[in-house]
Amino acid sequence: MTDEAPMLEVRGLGKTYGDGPQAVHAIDEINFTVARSEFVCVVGPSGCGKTTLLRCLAGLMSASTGQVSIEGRRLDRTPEEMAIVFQDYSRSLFPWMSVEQNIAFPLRRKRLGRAKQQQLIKDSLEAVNLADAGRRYPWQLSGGMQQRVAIARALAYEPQVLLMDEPFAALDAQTRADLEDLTLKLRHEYGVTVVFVTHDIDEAVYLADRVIALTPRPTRVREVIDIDLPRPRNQLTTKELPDFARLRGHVYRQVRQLDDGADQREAATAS
Amino acid sequence: MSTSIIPGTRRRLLRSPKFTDGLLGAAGLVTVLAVLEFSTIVGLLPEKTFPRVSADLRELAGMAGAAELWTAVGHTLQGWAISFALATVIAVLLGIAVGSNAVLYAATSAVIEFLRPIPSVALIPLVVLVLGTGLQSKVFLATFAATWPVLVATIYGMRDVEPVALETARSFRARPRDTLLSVVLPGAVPYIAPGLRVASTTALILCVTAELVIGAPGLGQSITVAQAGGQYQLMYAFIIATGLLGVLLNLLFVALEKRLLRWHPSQRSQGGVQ
Ligand SMILES: Nc1ncnc2c1ncn2[C@@H]1O[C@H](COP(=O)(O)OP(=O)(O)OP(=O)(O)O)[C@@H](O)[C@H]1O
Ligand SMILES: [Mg+2]
Repeated sequence: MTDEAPMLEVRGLGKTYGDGPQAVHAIDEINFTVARSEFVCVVGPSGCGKTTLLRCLAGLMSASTGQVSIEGRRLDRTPEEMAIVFQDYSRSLFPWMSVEQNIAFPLRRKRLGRAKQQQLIKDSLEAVNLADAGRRYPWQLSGGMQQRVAIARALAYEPQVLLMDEPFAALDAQTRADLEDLTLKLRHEYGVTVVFVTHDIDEAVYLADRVIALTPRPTRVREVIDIDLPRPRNQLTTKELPDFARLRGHVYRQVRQLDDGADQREAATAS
Repeated sequence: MSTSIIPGTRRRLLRSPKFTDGLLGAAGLVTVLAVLEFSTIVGLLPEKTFPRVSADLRELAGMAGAAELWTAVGHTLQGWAISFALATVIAVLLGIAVGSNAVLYAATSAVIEFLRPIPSVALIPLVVLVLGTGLQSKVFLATFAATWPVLVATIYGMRDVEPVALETARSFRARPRDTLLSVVLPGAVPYIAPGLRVASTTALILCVTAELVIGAPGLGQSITVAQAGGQYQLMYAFIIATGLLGVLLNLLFVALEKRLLRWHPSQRSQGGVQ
């Protein structure tokens, strides 16, 4: 490692919603860093605070304790070099705007000039294989296409960090696999740093360089697992590797908080 | 789209709900007119105060070329347009301010709930005293009445913006102006557009009322003058003209609403892939 600051650094991050007897202690304490161009997946049981963590990372919500920095700068609101892809694409895209207008909206502030802006829109739509959809409206597209538009909008913004909160959870398995591969391809082409939240362990292991497994509430980091599977990854061959099965099992145990013998006991009771 | 005369197109048209509704509507109207006409003919209604509908309509048709009708329509429309525009601007600006500011909302909602139910016509004596009997009074009354539906709609619309859309704008660091004009306001249009339609109708009613009661020039005044002169056919002709104006304005706003809300689930035609 060089001595330059990591792309993202989360230090002592904690979050409690509300106060008094109704307070929800969502995140106890989380620490981790993300290096430039790294692909990090965050997995954890349902309701453990993954969305909460991501919103704090994005500067959309302030943490109760601790802090988040991007390239050494402490962030208070979403930094310039960060874009977010929300899970709920149908609400995140603006239905009164065409696909092109949706992509152009975040660029307005940048005052890029018409030609440059058109180029960015065209390139990003091509990158997500929607070159012909610019004039259409989000609600005229299928769910998978809508999420691709949301990804194109994030890409056109030229971010260095892409945050994704369960972006494919609402899609069918086939579309989901396609979009996973698209995400990997775009990460490779754009060299962007990705933090990807999911509750799907297969997805996390398939995509990530590192998986951060969280405990149930109040949430801490249970383990950080290096995923040393070869790239480029492939839905078939990667998932057939013995290493994939091993890593998947390991992450599964971490997330389900099973000790080493527990899975055998679970298997015994299931049969 | 081509205007093909493929066999079957006609039959489909005849069976389409829109066409059937239109046909039924026309049939209902013709029936009512026929009953009225017949009632006068058989003496159920006195001919003097209820001239035959056909005669009223003929009177109206005869006036179509005369300046008198169009001057009256012009006066009424002028009052309507000024008050509708004023009400819209006032209500939308006020609604944006109140709807986007929790403190202002808490401070004003009681005032709004108190002022809103006051029937505009109750203010007529006061308004005549202060502003006289001309255009100003008419515009004041109509604006007062037409502001409320748009104001309330705008406030509700502003407070019911999709939180994920707002968060998306915030995450891209959109400027407040862009967020307001391109995210919050369009998101409030499903509330505001029906509010505008109600405001248009309200403004027209109040304009005609002001003309009737305080004698400001316009269709309402023409009705009173015709009635005072015993020209009942003329009076009915003006009443029918007023009704037609109301129907036309309403149609205009229905079309506008459809256009503005093309993207909204209530208006989306087939074409979405789900
Ligand atoms: N605005 C809020 N006010 C109070 N409690 C909240 C709020 N948002 C989330 N919580 C609570 O914080 C905890 C973590 O929620 P969060 O949405 O971050 O979990 P998650 O891991 O994203 O869940 P999921 O897997 O369902 O997406 C939950 O127990 C939730 O009830
Ligand atoms: Mg979540």
